[in-house]
Amino acid sequence: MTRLLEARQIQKSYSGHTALNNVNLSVTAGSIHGLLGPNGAGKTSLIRILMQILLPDAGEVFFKNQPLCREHLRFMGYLPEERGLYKKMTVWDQILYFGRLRGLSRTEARRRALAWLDKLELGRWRHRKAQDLSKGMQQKVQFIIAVLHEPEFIIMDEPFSGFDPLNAALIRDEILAMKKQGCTVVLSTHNMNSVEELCDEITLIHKSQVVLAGPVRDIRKAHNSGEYLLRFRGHHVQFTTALWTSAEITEKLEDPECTALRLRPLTPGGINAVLQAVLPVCEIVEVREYLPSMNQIFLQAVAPQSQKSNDTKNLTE
Amino acid sequence: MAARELFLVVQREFLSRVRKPTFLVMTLLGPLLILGLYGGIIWLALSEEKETLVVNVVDESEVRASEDIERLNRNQDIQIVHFTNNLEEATQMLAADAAPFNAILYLPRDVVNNPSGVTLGFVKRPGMSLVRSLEYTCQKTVENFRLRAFDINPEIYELVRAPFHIKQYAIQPDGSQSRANEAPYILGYVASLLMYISVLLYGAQTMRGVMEEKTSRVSEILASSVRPFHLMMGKILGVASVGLLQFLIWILFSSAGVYLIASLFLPQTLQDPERLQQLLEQQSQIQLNEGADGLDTSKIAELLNSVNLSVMIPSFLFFFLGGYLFYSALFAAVGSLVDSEADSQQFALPVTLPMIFSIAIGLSVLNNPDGRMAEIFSLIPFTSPVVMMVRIPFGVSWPDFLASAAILIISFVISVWISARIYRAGILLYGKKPRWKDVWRFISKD
Repeated sequence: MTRLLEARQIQKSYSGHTALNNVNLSVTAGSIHGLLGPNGAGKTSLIRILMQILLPDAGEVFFKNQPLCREHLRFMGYLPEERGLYKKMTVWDQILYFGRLRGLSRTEARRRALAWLDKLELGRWRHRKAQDLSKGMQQKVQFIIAVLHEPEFIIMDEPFSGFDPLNAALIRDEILAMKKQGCTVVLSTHNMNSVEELCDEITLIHKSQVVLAGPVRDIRKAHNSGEYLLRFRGHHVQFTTALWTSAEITEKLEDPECTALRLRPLTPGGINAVLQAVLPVCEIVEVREYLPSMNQIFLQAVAPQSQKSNDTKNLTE
Repeated sequence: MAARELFLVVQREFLSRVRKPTFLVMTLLGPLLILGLYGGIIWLALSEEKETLVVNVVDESEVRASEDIERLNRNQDIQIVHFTNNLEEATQMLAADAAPFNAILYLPRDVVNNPSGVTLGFVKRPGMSLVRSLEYTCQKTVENFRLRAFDINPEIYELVRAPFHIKQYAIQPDGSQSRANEAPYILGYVASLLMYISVLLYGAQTMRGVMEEKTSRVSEILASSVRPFHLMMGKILGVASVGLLQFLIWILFSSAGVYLIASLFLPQTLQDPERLQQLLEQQSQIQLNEGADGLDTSKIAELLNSVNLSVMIPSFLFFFLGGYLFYSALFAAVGSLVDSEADSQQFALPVTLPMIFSIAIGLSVLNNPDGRMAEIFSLIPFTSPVVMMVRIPFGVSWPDFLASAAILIISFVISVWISARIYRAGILLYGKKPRWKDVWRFISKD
């Protein structure tokens, strides 16, 4: 798979504080890449370096196998977390201004702006000043500004913050549509559900260093502890008696319809042996390999050692 | 691409300001408002109730000087009365508000030899011009007594007296002469004040523009599209274009206004500059012969005629541009460091202080426009825009002008370089009030 962007051994410090320490980032062309990490991990510094707002103290960034330069900004889009608009400028003027700054001609910027405003149902607001719009509408305008020049590569820092579920879904669909058209997206978020839903690969930064990186599925598999999720209808005591020593129940999960358990087979027969043992006493509703959620993986990777066990216990699928 | 970025930023800054209704109001009504304000002050001063000074003379002089004072008094607003010759009684009457006079002029016994013994007492202070007029009458009275003591006829003395007013002229490098009058003082003062206001006004606009981008969080998206240096320069040049456009409109309006007033109200003869010059020569000769003092209409016309606008306007525009660019780069740096109006005071003070200082220097330079102080402060970029505006109406040599201009241009480049370094770090600094140590780090770090 082709690498669209690659950052190697990036270092950045601010007056004695190390923000990034030998950070590597590899983004596959056409993928959605999650950039994860707790607050203060160094994500924003890395994003600013990729967008050439900051220069790294050491390390290199390559875009399409070329050292990153100002000319590449035409192909890049950016939706920063600290985003805003000129309060007293109309929606239309702002979109055109930023579009033209990104290299579009006036005519092309107008054509695309009209299309996007229609798509995000902002057409009738275009001659209103930004200060007259609701927060959600302002967020949509900011999204349009980030994507108007149809970048090949876009970084979105918390793109769903401030949106109601309906508009969040609208933005999510647009991100997926962009991916379909070949755009590569770096998604920085704390929302692990959207990571599982959208991301093909992730890089997790903690305390200025990369602690986890790779395709989401591979990472979840790598964190597999050999457990299964089993949902059944039947008497619980009969079930545990039948189970006897063939498996260890690691967690009882909340389920209003039936009994749900996480269990780890202990015999060489594995899950098949467990099922043979319990089938006579209950009705199996569902059985599947239990992969840890991104949320659990995130917490395992970044929480202090003492907290890890507690946090993991409190999580439910 | 860089030039396009810069052009787009300049265009936005220019249009966003020019499209505001306040721009139109300030451009069209600004000069009218200022004129109206001055007109109002003059009108108030003129329409003020006429003050009459009724002076009771307590005359203890051996020569009965009060009679001469009464005779020589030409001011109709001063009445000389002799209600009482008792100083104590007059004082008590004034204090009790029961006197038919409002001041007491006391003439001591030896008033001719000791005029400093003359005093004027009052409850409510009379106007300065009335006191001056009374002083003049007393002076004339004493002079007349002294003339008689020397057996000189005061009327002959008046004929002998030669009131003097040296007609000044400046020799130009080509050998020609130009009349020297009060015009450079007035022009220097007004132009320096206008320079001070303009540089501060437009500099502060740049600072507020940067702060607006920072507080509305547009800076980060801008920084990912435009180089911080271009962003800052675009803002500075955009505001400068607004300022220049405003000045251009004011100059056009003023020229049209002056032309209109001249053609409507001045007689045809006065509209011809050569004829006006002849008339002014004649008028000043008459004034010298009559010993007249103070400004009259012909003198105002003379002042207007002697203003060399073809030098003043380009010089003003050059030093405005130089001074504005120098200061606004520093203002932009201040704007990038803070995210509230209150915080801006701390960093804006070191930038505004030299400008305030330059106005104080300008007033001293007005007294000696070619002195050492004037020369030194014309070379310091913080003060040169204001000081040069004071000096130019008096005539500045080319080497002085060029040295001042060159230093201002070089200083502008340095101030932009320093400010750009602060700006690029400052615009991304949120929620933290930087210290002076941080500012130094921004400048020194690559």
